Amino acid sequence: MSSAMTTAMTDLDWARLERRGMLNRAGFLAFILVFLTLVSIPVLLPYLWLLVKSFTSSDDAVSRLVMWRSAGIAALAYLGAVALCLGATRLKRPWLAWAVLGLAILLLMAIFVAPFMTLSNYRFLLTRDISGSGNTRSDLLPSVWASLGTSLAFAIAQTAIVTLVATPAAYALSRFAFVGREAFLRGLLMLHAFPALALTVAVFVQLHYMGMLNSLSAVVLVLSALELPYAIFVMKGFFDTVPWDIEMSAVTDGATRSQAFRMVVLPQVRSGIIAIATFTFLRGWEEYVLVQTLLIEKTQFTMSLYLFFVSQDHMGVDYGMVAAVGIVYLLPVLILYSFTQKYITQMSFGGIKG
Amino acid sequence: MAQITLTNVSKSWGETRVLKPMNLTIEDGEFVAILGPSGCGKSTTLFLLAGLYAPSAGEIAFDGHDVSRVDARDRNVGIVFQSYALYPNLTVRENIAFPLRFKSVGKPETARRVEEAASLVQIGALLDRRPSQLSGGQQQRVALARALVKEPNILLLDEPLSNLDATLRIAMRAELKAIQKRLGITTLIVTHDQIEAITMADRIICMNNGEIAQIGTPDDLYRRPNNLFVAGFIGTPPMNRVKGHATGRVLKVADESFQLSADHSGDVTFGLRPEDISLVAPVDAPLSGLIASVEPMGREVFYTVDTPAGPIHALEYGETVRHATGASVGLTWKPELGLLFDATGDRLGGLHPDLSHSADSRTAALQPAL
Ligand SMILES: Nc1ncnc2c1ncn2[C@@H]1O[C@H](COP(=O)(O)OP(=O)(O)O)[C@@H](O)[C@H]1O
Ligand SMILES: [Mg+2]
Repeated sequence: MSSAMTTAMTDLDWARLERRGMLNRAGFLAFILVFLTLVSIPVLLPYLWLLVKSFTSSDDAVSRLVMWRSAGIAALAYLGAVALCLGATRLKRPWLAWAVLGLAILLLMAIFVAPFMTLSNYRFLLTRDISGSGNTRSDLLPSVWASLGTSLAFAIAQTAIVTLVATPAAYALSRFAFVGREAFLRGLLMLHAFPALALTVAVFVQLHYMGMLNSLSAVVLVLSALELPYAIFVMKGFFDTVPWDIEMSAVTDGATRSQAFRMVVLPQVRSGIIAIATFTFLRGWEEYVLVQTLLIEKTQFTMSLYLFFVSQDHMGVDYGMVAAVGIVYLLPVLILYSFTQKYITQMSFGGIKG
Repeated sequence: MAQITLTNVSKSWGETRVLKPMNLTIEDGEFVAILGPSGCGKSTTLFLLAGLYAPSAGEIAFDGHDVSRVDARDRNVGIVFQSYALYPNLTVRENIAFPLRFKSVGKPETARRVEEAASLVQIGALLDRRPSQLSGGQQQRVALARALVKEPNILLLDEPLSNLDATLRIAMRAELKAIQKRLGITTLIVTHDQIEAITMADRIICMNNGEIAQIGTPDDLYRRPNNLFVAGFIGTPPMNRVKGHATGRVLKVADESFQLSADHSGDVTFGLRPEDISLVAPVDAPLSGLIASVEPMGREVFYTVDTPAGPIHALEYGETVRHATGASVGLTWKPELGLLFDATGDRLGGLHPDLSHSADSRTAALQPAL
């Protein structure tokens, strides 16, 4: 009799505790969601507006209307997505719900935003005469394709140099104990901490005396030199994770040191190489200050210079077009990231586990 | 297959001397274990043989040919590293085939030899996996197959069993030994586990502090240890060691005196293995005391006896505990199994204390210390 009563009591207790546990978990989840949302808004909203702006005519009132409407629709889409994620386990056919949500958002866009959209901001893709006036300004401005090409060549050259130099340098630093290795490593870190902008004047003077001003390859070399310390440092971390045993095993198996490096060590630091290549490429792609300073005559435009030029119109800036150029400038970065991000995330582990 | 000779081989890194000059010969087809505590230079010795380290001095010869300055890749040595060192980017098949890429071996021949090596170590079914998809024991087999596929002159194994669990280790011990006997390949295995060395090897090189403490058969090391280090390192539980002093034919240990089989003078250490001691009635015994602790260990019982000469460990076979804590017992042994070591730790060959006491202290020994 008394034992039955205690069981009943504890059952009740357990039920109460279970409710409390569920409430706590729900509260925690809600907190995390709200926090992440609040933090994301200032980060993501500019991208949304950049995209929307690039498709809207420059009229101020229209522009404002479209921006707020699109933000509203985006908020709806976000809330819908969160709700679907939370309820996904309870739904029979989650993909159907997602499709409905997608359709609804598309419909809203078509009704409230699409009527104000225009492609005319992207006319710079087709013509050099962006203001449509045929004045001297368009003579100065190269085609956007040429600028894209220049930027691409610039970033690729820099990537190639940095990767090809940093890889063997980092390998040597990781593998061979030589006098001053510690000092060298400390030096690398210090170089990386140095604000590169402070060097601009000195580099300008140096290039001037070397007769290399106005040459894109000179800028590539300067930027590569600035990027190398960091790349070497990151790569060394990757090489450090490759066991000495594995290399020695390859050597006893009959490989030369360089064969062992190529066949056994290099495949294990692939993520590292992809990571430093990506970062170096992005640095080159976004570079503005040094290009602006060292290419005084602006015979070759990189995308950053192109963007700057478009936004520098004394007759009134066409913000729609600036946004469109921004989108075109961004696109290659997005594509690159989508291919390499899975390797870059491994960088935080400083290497890969076999 | 090769005979290996080391002549005055030593190794230093800068100022630190890791290996003192070392001389030894390993016969063709012999299975030799390098045994010693960790950090004593076992792996260094192995890597010197493989050519991964260059000796600071001395000569290493395979079949009488000096190979000291031959590159590792040309020595045709198979090596299994402690970490196995499999190539994570290659499949098991590619791992095993790797050494053959550097020899002029055709595709069909490579495939045949990979299959053969894989079936020798029983991993034929795993050939298309990656090393990360294998268990520790399987990885070890792959490493062994990779070392054997090139038909090496010598096979070097660096603590190959230390990363396996206990059951697997015992199975692999027998298997390694069988494979070695079947192939007749000169093999050196590094281990810090004396059971491994004793069960597998024809001869054991016992090392301490970068020096060879003794080379000999397992029985040599167990019964005729050259010095206190070997005596203490071989055997579990370790040998009892009691300090004493010899003058002429009399050995004094604490208050006890024993008759010596020959003359000796100076400080000595008396060594006796726990498993060589029998527990008897106190009256019949050369040494007696009170049982301080009793530890049944399954097949045997481990006793600690407090004697006038200090605590002595004794191991009795059989499951039954025949003596209780606090009981008074006598300890006896075959006189020739008691070993004497001089003040520097070297064994005094042919010298044993007799079990009969010197006349003066007989009565003292009869009284249990209390
Ligand atoms: N590359 C090296 N540089 C300096 N000292 C080393 C090197 N390799 C090993 N040693 C030292 O040599 C000693 C023996 O090492 P090792 O042969 O690996 O011992 P173990 O018997 O455990 O295999 C250790 O004290 C170790 O610190
Ligand atoms: Mg070792």
